[in-house]
Amino acid sequence: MSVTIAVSATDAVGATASATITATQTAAAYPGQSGNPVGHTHAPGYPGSLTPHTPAGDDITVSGTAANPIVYQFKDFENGANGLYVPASHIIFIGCRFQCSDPLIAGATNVRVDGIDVEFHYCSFVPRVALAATPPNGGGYTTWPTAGVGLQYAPEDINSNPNPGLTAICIPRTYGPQYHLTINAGPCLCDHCDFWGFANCITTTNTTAQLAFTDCWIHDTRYPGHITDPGGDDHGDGIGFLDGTIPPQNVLIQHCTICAEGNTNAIAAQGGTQPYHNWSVINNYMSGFDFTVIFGDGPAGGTNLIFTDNILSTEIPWAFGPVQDHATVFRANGCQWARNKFRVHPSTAPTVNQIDQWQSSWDGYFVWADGSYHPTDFV
Amino acid sequence: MSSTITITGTVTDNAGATGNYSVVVTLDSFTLVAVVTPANAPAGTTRNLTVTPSGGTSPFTFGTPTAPGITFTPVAGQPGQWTFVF
Repeated sequence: MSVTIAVSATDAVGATASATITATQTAAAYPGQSGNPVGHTHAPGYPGSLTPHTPAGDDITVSGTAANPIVYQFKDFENGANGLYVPASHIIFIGCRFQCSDPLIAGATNVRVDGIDVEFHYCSFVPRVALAATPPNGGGYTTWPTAGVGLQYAPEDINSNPNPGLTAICIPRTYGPQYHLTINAGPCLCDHCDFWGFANCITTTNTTAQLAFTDCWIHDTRYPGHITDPGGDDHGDGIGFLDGTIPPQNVLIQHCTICAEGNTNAIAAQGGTQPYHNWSVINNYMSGFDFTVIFGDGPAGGTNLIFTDNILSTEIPWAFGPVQDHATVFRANGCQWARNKFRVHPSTAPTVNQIDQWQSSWDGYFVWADGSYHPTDFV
Repeated sequence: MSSTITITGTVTDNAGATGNYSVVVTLDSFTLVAVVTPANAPAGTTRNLTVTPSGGTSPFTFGTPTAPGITFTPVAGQPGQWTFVF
């Protein structure tokens, strides 16, 4: 994609001149690939090891200021099952690791942010390292973008039974948290962060402050369990709004990799009591879940919802479809749905419950806002 | 860049004598050289636009660049320079 820029000038005696120049967008590696590493070990200046945050479990309660934020750099937060609470504001985490487990399946949250102006750069959100240092068989670190590439394990069947094969490629439910990051205020930024071993990765709540997620890699969910298990089964998501009240406004999700055997949504902008406003989901790489994308759900009247230049790929089969049908939303109120491409991973095929039984020859088709596939873009 | 035109003519006095004249006029014009750095980069990259006059008579007044959907931010104290995100 390129753009032509027009420039002009006038000199001292009134002569004028004009010119044009072109700028071009090139494809950058999606997060988690060698050309775009994420997580604490790839933070600029990483010294080779982390310093434990002490005392372990201590919350972040002291705020910085907008001009002088407090910076935590290369710290290891061993959050146990209780998680880290960040009520403080003006905090920057750089190259940190946050560990958490959920031994009682009690909805553990790794990091909860209630403060304003909190940023995470090149951080790792992981299960407790003592329980699972890496996903089974290396997971997505071996088979980017996540464990199970090409195995054709739909996250669950239509009766919420997890695919039996998931036990071999996911960590046990108790090893990782239900929530890696819960954001209750803003602005909040996650950039070049690595998330794995969760049920619901990032959840947001009602705020109008800017929430931004750029170049993050979300992969390798924990084993989702069965609906009859204690606590029920996980409804695994990537980034979303789940609590059914007032959705946050002003959310940017750009150039992230969100691929997993989660059984709900990579983009989980689920229904609330009011319409969505000012969300941009741009140039992300996504695979798996039931509907990979739910965007534009809830009451009618959403405005400025942008979903462009995304890739929906079949490394992990979506249980039902790439997108839940919200086509009408994207035909009004400044909303835009464009240039979203379907990608067929080699040797994959539609699984039995998928709504559209796609064909491999459709590789490169456009995915429309109703979840269908077409050789031409959404109108 | 500039170009010239030569004007010639004849003047006759009231006694019928003639004389020729010739004058060279320089037409003011110039060109612009525009450079974007980086010209090729991933989406979302902050880029610099520099516009440099070639020829002409200083000082120059620069119009705000235009491109669909792009906002150009002037670089303080640097006429002819902007940043933008694309």
